[in-house]
Amino acid sequence: MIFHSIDYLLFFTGVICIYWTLNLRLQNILLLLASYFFYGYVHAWYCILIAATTVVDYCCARAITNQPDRKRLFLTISLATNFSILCAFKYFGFFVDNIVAAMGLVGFDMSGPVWEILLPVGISFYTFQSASYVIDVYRGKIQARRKILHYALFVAFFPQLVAGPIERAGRLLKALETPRKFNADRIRSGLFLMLWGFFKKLVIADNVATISNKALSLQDPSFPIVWGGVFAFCIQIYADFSAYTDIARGTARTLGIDICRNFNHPYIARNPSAFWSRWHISLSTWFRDYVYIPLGGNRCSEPRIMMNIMLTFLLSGLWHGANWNFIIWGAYHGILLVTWRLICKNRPRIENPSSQTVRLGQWTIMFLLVNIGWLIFREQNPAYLWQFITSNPFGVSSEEWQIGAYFFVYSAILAIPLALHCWTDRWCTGDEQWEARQQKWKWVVAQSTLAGILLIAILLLKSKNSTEFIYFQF
Amino acid sequence: MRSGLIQLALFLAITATVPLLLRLEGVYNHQHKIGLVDRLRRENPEILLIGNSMLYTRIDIDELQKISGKRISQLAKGGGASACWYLYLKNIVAQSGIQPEQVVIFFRDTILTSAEYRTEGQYGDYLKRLQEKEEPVMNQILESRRKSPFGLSSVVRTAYKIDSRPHIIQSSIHDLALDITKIDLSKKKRKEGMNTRFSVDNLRRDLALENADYNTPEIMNVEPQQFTPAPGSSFLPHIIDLADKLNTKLSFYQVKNAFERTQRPLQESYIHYLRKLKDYLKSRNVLVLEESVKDIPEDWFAEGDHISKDHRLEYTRLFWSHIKDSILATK
Repeated sequence: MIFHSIDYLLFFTGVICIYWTLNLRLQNILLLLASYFFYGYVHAWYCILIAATTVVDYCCARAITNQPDRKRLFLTISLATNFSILCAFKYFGFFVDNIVAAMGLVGFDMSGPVWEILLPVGISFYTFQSASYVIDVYRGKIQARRKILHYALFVAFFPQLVAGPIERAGRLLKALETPRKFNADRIRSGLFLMLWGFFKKLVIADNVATISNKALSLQDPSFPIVWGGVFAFCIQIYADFSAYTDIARGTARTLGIDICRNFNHPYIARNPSAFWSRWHISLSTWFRDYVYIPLGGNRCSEPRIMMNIMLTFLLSGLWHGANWNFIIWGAYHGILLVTWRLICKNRPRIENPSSQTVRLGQWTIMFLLVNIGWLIFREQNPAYLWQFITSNPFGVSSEEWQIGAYFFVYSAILAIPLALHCWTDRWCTGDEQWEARQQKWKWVVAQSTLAGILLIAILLLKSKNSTEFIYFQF
Repeated sequence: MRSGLIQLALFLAITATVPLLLRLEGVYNHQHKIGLVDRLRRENPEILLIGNSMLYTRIDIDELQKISGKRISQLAKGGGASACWYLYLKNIVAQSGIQPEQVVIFFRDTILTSAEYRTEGQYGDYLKRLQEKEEPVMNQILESRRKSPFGLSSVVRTAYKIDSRPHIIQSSIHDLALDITKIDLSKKKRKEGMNTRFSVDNLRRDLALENADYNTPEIMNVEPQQFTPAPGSSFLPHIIDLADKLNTKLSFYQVKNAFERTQRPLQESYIHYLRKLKDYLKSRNVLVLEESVKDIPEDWFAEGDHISKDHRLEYTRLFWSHIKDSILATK
């Protein structure tokens, strides 16, 4: 089921109305049934996969606790099962295609029937979430749970099941086990967050998507058209993915559960390190805790640290999709981070310059670098990727510049609410009395009016060509 | 607790009410409709052609009048589909009082039975200009096709009076961006330039159908269409009934896709659809004529399935030679 559908609104309304009349155990049973219904709404067989992951990881975590001397074996079984399922559905076709192509280069024709495997949505997200639980039990950070109900709900919790944030057991599982109290203020705030998410998806992301799709579907786009399209995609992917997170967080909040923040205005970052602490935070921290640190993290020689960074980002790129462009995108960001690390080592003051001009310059460079990354991320055809990256800004006609500028300005106009949100968000988080202020009548009226304006904007500006969330494909 | 609940209720009430305070409903002037009625009265055609860009990029009316010796008119709007053609017959032809011997409707793909196709946005805006104050048949058909659970879509549309106003506001944002980025060319020229730049011929062939692929009929990319001639969910039976009331012989002319020249096999579901459509039209005593795509040289096509301006006269002659016997025989 997709969030931006009437089906979801009906489903959500039904769940929340029943939910708050029940006790904790029944609430969790309802949420588990609702989550499986939500996930299996289009393809019921998806539920078999998630149930298999749940049962295997539940049993392995229990076995790790009960037989500590064989805990390594059970961890291996769990990880092998999880990642085998993930590889079978997500990477099988990619590896087969590449092996066939490689063999073809040395003269062996291995082409056979083409297998089209349908990728279950959200498999990368829940696999990582479930794997983190077993690893945390193995590390002794958390206790293996006895009640499979709580654990199954942790894996399948519908608000964040399909596109994250990737939660940790220490946080979400604990929240699911704790009795929730009905709090009208939190429901109000959750509904507002959902509305803001719908606005970002339906008004911003879907409208700029028409621009990026158009620009990058030309056979021979000129330099300004390519980069006008890439800028549109830059707005689209942030609005789209953060919209999903906001709807997920808003939904969870109405159910009395807090899930983590996944974005912190990534486009204001002035360097690669800051960007990755602001973009897809739950995935970045997952890779940090379960890949980068076990590889040695920062506690080893400088060349080894750089290798660890590169490896982590290559895997992060591969996580996004079974295609070479994602691996190149991961490598690209790895190189940016390694380069930034080297620069900071030689000139430590560059990380926090006092001059506003230098800060603005850093931001501009970082924003351009992020955009180059988005082009790599978006374009799966290597020939076109090369053509776009090497497009020449010289000798382009005035008409082409005007089209590119129009794409840029149109996307920028639609991105104004994102910029305003960035500004107000920083202002709000700096206010210590914020929580208390939100309960004042004046604020309630202001928030409600703003919600009404968002609803008007959705009704008037909703794109006719609504698409699925981009991160559904991962 | 109680104040929290009251605040929540207030939040919901204000959120739902604020959009009601604005008048989202568009105001439409009916000059266009009146102009079309006047034109038809003036021209008083013996043969009336109805369609969309597939018609006006194919047929040169002056040439057709010359070679046929008949008074011929056309009603065509780019992007128009079955809803538009229904309104042409009901609100233009019927109201003009003319009685053409023949009405020929040009269609392509599954447009004749895809009632909701191109009824929103800029197309919805155009339909509004053709409509009467009340259009119960049209509203009922479109609502039945929206498939919204418990008719929620209808409730939202009625409550907030959303029609084609969103299109006007969205266009104004595009226009603002065009104004800001203007260097030398006028807005109109730039829009035309962009249409040419992003025409189907300039698009990549390797992309999925949502962006560019003119190897499959346009509507079939959306979903495999079921054949639905039921009066509650299709304009087709109403179009035939209107022609009967006007005592006019109705024919349909099926325009083909350029790719059919290459003899690429059609989808099974589409073949099945066409068979059922033709059976239905035959049962209603309506003539269906087919474009003979193999007689059209490849270089006549432009921008997908249109016919280039340079070959319009030749196409018009080909068209008349192809249909004249059938048309004249059914007089």
